[in-house]
Amino acid sequence: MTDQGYGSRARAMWGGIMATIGGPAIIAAGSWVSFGALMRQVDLPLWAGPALTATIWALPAQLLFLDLYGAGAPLVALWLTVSLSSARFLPMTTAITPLLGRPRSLLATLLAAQLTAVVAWSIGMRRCNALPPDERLPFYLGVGGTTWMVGIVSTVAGFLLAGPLPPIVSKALLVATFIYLAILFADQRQRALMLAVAFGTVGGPALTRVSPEWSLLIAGFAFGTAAFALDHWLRQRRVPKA
Amino acid sequence: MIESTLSFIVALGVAFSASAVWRFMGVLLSARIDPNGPLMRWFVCVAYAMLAALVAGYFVLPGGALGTTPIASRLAALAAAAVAYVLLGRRIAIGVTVGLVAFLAVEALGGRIAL
Repeated sequence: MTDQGYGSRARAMWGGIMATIGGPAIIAAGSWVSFGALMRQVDLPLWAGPALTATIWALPAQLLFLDLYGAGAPLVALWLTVSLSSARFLPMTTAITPLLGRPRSLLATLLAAQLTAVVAWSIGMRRCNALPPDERLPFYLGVGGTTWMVGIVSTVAGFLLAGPLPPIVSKALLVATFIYLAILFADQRQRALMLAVAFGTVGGPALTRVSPEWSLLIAGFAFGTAAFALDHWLRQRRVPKA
Repeated sequence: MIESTLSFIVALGVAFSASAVWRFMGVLLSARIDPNGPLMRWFVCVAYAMLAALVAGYFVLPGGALGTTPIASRLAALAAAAVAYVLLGRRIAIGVTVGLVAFLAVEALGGRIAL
């Protein structure tokens, strides 16, 4: 890729696909293989796993779904619980949508939002700004669509494996996922985002002890706001008073 | 069988709507916010803080699959990955590979992998 981008919308989408195949796809595959292996232990047919991954496309929400559906929970409880765990998508899609450039139809933008997950979002947040406006959405759809398809295939693969992965393999996959995301998040050029990541990393796990259900939302809003405020204050201070 | 299939599909639809509604609300909200304004910068901070908390939780909380590995292996993996990433040209693949090797090495030294 050059500073001029990929040259066309089709090539930008291809670029998104190629940017995902390899490291990011392996990372995405890891957690979905574990989810597929888990699907074998619940009393649901083979197609249920890929159906969950294809539609909900959020691992924490899907784990909650299995819990609640297995326990025969009322649909209202199911909706509220999944909704709570998916509320993190609101700031994520609010942040990525303006980076997707123009032109973009509402339908394509909603598709981009539906394909958004941590890996695709992190890549999009880093890469989209450097592309010409008309190539951003195809690039992001290429990234999101590839991780989505890898997720569906990996869910089936995890189900078809003889049993759960050997503990060391699933641990290694988790460690790789963690390091990958940690690097993506930690390597920020903007001070506000460095602060947000640092505060969230330190404070998030501590909050889990207080309120496991609400900890992520509270962490996001509390530490995100703290980072934003501190960055704002530092900016103000640096500007010499006229 | 048909009844249980139907109940699964209904539950799936409910869960899908609960997840999609937040994604779509973000799209609608972003159209009303100045992309370069302070409100958008705040939203980006919130998103990053939230995801950092999520990822940090995987790493340190005892509930996950990593909960059974000693914190030493996890820290070794993270430190090795960070050093390799910074020193070897900021390539994520190198950081992840080196971190993973460090993790497996510490696990093997601790006798937790049968070689």
